[in-house]
Amino acid sequence: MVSQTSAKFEESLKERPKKRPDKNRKLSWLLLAPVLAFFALLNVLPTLWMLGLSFYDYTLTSYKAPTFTGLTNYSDFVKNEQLSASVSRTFIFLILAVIAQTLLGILIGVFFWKNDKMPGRRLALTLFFTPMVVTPIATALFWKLMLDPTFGVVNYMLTSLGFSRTDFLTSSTLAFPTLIVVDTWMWTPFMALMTLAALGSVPKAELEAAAIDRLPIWRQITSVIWPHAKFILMLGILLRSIDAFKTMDLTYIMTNGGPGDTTELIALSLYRFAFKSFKLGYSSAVSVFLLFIAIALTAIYLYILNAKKKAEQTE
Amino acid sequence: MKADDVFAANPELDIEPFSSLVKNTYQVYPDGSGIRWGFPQMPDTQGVFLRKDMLEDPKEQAAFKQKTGKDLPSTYEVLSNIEFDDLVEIIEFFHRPAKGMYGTALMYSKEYDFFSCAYYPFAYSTGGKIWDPETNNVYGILNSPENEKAMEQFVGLKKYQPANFAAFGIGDMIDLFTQGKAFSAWQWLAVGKFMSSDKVPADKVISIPLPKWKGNLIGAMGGQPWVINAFNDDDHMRVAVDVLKWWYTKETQDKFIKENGGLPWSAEGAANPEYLEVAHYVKPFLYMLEEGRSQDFWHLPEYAEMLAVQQAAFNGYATGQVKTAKEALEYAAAKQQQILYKAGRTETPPPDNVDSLKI
Repeated sequence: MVSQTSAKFEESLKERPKKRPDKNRKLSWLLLAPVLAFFALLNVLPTLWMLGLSFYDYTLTSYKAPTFTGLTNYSDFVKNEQLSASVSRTFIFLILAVIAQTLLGILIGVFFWKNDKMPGRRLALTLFFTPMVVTPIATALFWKLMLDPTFGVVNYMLTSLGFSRTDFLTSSTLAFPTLIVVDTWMWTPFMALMTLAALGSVPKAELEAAAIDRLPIWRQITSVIWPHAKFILMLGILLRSIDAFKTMDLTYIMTNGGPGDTTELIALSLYRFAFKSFKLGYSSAVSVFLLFIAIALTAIYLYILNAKKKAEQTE
Repeated sequence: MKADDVFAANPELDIEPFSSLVKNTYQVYPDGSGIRWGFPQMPDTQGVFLRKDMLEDPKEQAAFKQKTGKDLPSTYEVLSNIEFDDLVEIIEFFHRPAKGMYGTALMYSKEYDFFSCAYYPFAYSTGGKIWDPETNNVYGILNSPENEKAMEQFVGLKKYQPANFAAFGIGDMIDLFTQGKAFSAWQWLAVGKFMSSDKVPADKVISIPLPKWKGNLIGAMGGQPWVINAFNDDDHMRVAVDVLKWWYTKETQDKFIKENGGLPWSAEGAANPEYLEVAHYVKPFLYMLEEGRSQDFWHLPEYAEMLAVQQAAFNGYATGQVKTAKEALEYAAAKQQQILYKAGRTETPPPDNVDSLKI
């Protein structure tokens, strides 16, 4: 009798997970439907449309109807050394800017973390994060004004200190580094914020234990802080990388890709193809390329998140 | 919508222009077809704005005479026929960067058509051409020795300008001149009203046509027409035509020209003595609008793409990214030939190395 009841109970247990997820699944799909429809309409369809267009010769200013040209747009893109230079320049911008922002962000983040009882800390943090919340267009405009050799405050200060006027944005050697400096000014607070979040994720007990054990600072960093902080910090680096790869507003306003093409990043080139020359087929092919780069960066990001999950499960 | 159709129904809108430049620049497409699509709105030509007060200063006149042995011209009559070399001599005389006064300002910006339009008079007036409108060929025409020399001369004027000269567009020139930091500015005459300020009042400014190169002068055309959208419904079409009728009334044109810095472009307007006296920039504007005195370029749908290519290359030369004018012209010519060839506008392919060209 007991064994029969127990057997029934076990069977009911087996059945339950089957039925309940079915109900939940339906409800889940129902709740997800509006979002999915929205996503499909505004994201999937345009992406597929763009993918399709990339195989066509289609220029809005031309009298010709779109014609299927296969991989011509892609081969044109690969053959065009001017555009390859633009892609390389974008990667150089990304690497230099993200490295600078990460190093400075870590330094500043650690400073605020260590000095959590510093008077005026909250106000300092609020002011420090301001560049990050100002729109990039506004940032670009006021930096452009500040760096103007004739009317700008930066040159006014330089000449007051006895230096000669410096042409930051139209010098073919200074324009690119200047953009990196401005991008770093704008986004270092973000990396500092990520550093603070990362350091905040380190359990206090472990830090206290490390202090009691008098672990040398480098051991504290490698054995206690880094294992916890690395996921958030890596996430910050990846988000910045994706964002830096798409940079357009800063270059468009400050230099318009110039002087010559020394600050022409790929997103600005894409803008020109699509909205100045109206070459929709060609610009779609360039967009597909950019999409793959973004997907690759996102894949790295997901890999790291999964690694975190696995690490947590192991613990 | 074809302007010719609107003119047929509203003959009062078909106004005789001052010169064929108005019709060919703002109305006709394709070039030479005689088919009109546009309605003249605000034609524009180029000139040079000068500090009249500095030219008229007796001390400056004496110093100039002592330095060069020549009289410093200060009247429109003399200055409107000045040779390029003579104007540069005056610019050099007034170039005093240590005192915050630069000799001149021209447009070299990569933005829109700033560099190109400022450079074209240097090329056109010294025998250069930028393309062949019959065959739609650019390569071998734009990259010519004449254009190379003209570009070197144009960029050579940077020594009389502030360090960021290569970023100058219309607005930057207005700022520089009206803040009293430049003796002269090569500028569109349609912005003449804005080339003065409290610091540099209008009575201290004189504008003249572009200088001549051994007696030759061909400027670039600016400005824009009205056009009517062919997809308008009947109501909007009627309103569009009504706006044009209002725009061309004497009252509106009076207000536009006398109070708001507009310029006369019709045969009747150009003959109106009131318009001629309204501001110093009207005379040079009409001078530059005379037959053959200015010319427009590329009435083609590929315009924006062709322009972007040469703006980057030319600006690259001005800023030192591109080492020589020859390289900049070679790059622009090859890329433009490729654009036109791909668009099916010419049968002549670009040079074989076009894809490997970089600035």
